Amino acid sequence: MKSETERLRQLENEAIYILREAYRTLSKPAMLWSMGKDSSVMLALTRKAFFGKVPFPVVHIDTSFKIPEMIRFRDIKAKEWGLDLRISTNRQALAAGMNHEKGRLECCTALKTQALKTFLKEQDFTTIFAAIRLDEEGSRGKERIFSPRGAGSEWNYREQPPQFWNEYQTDVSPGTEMRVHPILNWTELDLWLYIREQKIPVLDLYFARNGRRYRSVGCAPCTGTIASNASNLDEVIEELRTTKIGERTGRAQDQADRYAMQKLRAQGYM
Amino acid sequence: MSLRIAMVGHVDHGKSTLIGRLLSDTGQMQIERSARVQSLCDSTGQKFEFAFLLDALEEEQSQGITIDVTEVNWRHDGVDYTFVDTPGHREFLKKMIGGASRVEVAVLLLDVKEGVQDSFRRQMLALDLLGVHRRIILVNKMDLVDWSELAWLEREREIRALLIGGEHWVLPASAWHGANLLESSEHMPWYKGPTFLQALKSLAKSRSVAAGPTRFFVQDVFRWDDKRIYAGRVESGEIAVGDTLVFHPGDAQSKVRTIEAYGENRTKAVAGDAIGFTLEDPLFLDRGALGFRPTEKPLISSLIRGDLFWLDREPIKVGDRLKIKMGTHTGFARVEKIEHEIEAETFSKLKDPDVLNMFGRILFRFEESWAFDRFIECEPTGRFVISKSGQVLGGGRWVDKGDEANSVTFPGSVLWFTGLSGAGKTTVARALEKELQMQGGKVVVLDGDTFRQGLCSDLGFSDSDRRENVRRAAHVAKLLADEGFTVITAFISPFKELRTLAREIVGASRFQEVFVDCPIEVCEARDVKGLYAKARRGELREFTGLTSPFEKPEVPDMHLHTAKFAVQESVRQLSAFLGGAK
Repeated sequence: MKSETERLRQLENEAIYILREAYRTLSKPAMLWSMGKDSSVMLALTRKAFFGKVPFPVVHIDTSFKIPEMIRFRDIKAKEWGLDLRISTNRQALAAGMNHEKGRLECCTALKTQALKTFLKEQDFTTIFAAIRLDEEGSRGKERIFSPRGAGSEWNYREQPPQFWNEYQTDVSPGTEMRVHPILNWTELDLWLYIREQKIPVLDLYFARNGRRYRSVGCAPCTGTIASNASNLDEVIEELRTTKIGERTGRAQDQADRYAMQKLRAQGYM
Repeated sequence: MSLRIAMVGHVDHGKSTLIGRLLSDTGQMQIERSARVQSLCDSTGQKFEFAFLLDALEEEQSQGITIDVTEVNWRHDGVDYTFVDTPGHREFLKKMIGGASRVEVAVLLLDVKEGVQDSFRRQMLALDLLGVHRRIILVNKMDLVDWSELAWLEREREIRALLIGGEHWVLPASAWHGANLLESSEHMPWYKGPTFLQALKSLAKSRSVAAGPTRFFVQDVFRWDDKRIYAGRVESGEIAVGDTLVFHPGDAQSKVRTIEAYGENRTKAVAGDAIGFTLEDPLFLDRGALGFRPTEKPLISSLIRGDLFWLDREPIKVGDRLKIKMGTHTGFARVEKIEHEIEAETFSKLKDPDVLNMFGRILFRFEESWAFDRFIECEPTGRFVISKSGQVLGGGRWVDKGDEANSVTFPGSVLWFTGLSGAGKTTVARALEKELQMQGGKVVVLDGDTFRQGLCSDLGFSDSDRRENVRRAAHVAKLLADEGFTVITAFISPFKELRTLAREIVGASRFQEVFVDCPIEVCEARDVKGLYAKARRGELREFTGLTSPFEKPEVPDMHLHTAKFAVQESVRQLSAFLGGAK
């Protein structure tokens, strides 16, 4: 369909512009890559924006509970694309026995939020590219493309800077952490249409085997599959055109508390 | 790309409810989101609150308000829409303006019980400044006044009194009941106008076609693989291999050697494309340099006049040093003069104030010469944002160079619109009037209907009466043009002979014939005043286009195609035409 292709061009142009804007005007950038569909699309857009290069480190926050296919995919692609891959794990919390049975919010906070914060501090990154999207869940609907964070990565969602037209405000005082969200305006369907159009490699986990598939991937204990027969790109796209089931239905941490994601994200969760 | 729609309105006038209702009635509500809201409402014993579907933050749900902008996608009948839900309280005007600046259409909600308030006037003014000229004004909560036609007429009258220019729909509804949203409501049999959906579709149809001069801001320069790639976005127009580009500042120029887009072979890039290019000569260009074609120069000056909105509690004072950003170009300017402030309650202009609180016109003196366009001629290089101490605190649109006379002065002239009933003469005339007024011009519209009701109420539609009608109108136009007004006339004036007469009366040197061209099928389908229907029923005799001829102008001074282009595109063409003609 013509309008869908046009929409993809517009989203692609916007993302490329944002990536370049952040790279040029902000300091010490790094990109979060979870090997999921969202951040893999962001990575593909980065290579477009910089004419084939990824001019900053790519970070994986490894909780050690990730699905094994994800790690294999990560290592193969990092080599193929020549990425400066950095991996961060909260070993202290793991040594102390942290896992989802201690509480899902507690586990996410320790193994993801804490691991990310410690890593950013140690390696002194202040500009973080994250592949979140407005339509994923309620609190992300309040995000900005350029989102300055407080000390300790806190998100003050009440006092966000205004954004007029498509003028991005990148003036921040030195040392301020900035979260940059190049694909904030993409929908789940946009992602899959773009993956098909650009032939972007994605995890096999997204395609149905024996009547089930992952719609969103994360840690093995907290990520479930959905009933589906969509076993290839065309079928996934067709399924998304008609479904009324939310994308993060299989993500247990969202269900732990009515405002779980708002709370996690206010503390610095991606 | 989806049509972006700002939802604007006072707190509690039903914005989020409207969006929730649309999603729900078209089966686009995610199951677990609505289940979550249902359980929340059950736990507090209230009725199902649609607004909670969007107002997802805990504080928003417990206090029943929207704190921040939310975006929601909606698809209907093959068209994608994005609703940008904006907060309504006064202190959130900043966010409302931020949300509304990236949209093409605005939906304003008004509680039928409360009527037009200051906040509504402020919102309308902000939308004017942002350039959002297509609006739907929904008089909501009709259920709370027992679907009273009288209450609706009262509100409609109040609202229409505020409307000038642009494309507006004013309609009654109840968002909570879904009345008059997707389908007309059995509760309001007295209402014959469009539903919300019909109004939205009509606005979606008239989306403007990209046109304008070539403009490109250098975003970054990459010197990779022995190439010097100038990366950026085509803001307007297009760039092709072989084109000559000039860059400001510096006036360096060169030819485009290649268009660079990773993984693609391209020879051309158009407005919106984030690409790179190489040049025949390796120019040294900084981020922020503006590229243009030698034949399409922007305005260049260090003294520039702009209309702006200011959102900080502390007002702007003469002498303030502000950081101005336009695309990737930034610079500093001092406030040379505050030419006027627009008072948000009454819309009245206060001349030469010492400070500017929210809306007004400022003369900026830049530290270096600055390239720009008038907003009406090229939006991306016609608007700017202002920051102070690293915070974005305002924005606006460029009006003109400040080293020319104070405000654009058009010598008295007459724009004689001619076209079928329903072609859009009055709509375009009113929108142009507003635009020229914003540029500081003296403008007046002479409307055919108004003449027929007053000055020419003794005349009918025979050939001799039509001639007398035009003769009187031309003389009034002449008197006003003598006083320095730009006069826009909106008369069908179907015969060549009549238009020649008008040209003779006004004087050929200051008379411009503007053909407002729209196929009769489209005019008849619009039939805003119901005249075509009447004529078809035989109730009107000698109706132009059906039972009386329309002689098309052969060589009009200006030819507008209103079926193809949005009103604002016609206004842009006319404004550029006037700018060139003066």
